[in-house]
Amino acid sequence: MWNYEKTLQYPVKIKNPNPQMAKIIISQFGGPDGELGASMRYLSQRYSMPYDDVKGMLNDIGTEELGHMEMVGAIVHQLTRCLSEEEIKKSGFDAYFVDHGIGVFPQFASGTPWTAATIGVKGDIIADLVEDMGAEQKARVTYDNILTLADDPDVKDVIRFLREREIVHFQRFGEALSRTQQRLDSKNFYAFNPSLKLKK
Amino acid sequence: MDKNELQMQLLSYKFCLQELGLYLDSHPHDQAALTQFQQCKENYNSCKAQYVREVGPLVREDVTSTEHWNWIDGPWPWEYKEDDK
Repeated sequence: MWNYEKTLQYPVKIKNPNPQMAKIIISQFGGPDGELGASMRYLSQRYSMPYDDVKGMLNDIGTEELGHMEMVGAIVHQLTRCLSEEEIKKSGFDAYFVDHGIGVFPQFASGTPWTAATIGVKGDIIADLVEDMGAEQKARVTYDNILTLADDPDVKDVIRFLREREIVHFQRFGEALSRTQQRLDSKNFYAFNPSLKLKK
Repeated sequence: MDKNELQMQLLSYKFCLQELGLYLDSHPHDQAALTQFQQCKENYNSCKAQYVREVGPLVREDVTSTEHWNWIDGPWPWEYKEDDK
């Protein structure tokens, strides 16, 4: 069950609003490789995992990703917190603004609403761990792209923290995959799914 | 220590617990890490006690007042405060 702690994991203090950046960064809130997706993927995968250490890892990383989603939401909120009509039009933020105002809506930068179609939950430990490693890399690339597009040091500082976390998570998933491969019967590692206990 | 420094200290201890926790998820018998976790927890607990006294509640159970539900008092974590550095 989840409790809420009234703090961000890392501070978000964006002095200068910038709706153009908000349109881009929102992709890590509700986009294909964003924090909402990461959290839902890991928290959903944990149910069918056969090993305690993997359940623990998915549980704890999935929980951390909710905190990251909150940080990205804070960035988008602070980037759009006081805008003039002219800024809204000039930045191209008007298309988002007409539907959501300065609300923070979970969507891709392109405007597609968040969808579970971007996450994989296969119920197979190998498929799921490899999916997770891919997901962390895709998130890392997205943060790299944001760093390329952003100039504001207040924004870049937070993005670098989030990017580092993706790399650490990638390491953890890789270690879990390696431990799992050692545990499974080497004769039929792809043929048997330890999560599937069919009744005879 | 001012409120910002106190908050940064709290976040550092919390981060330490998070990283150690993730490591311990896959190395549950690592004595050194387990000991470090307990030490970090002690630092965190005393820092948190000071934070709750001087800044505000971290979880709802931290509220002690029988006059005022300060859980809802601003600022909320996503808000920008003009006096922030």
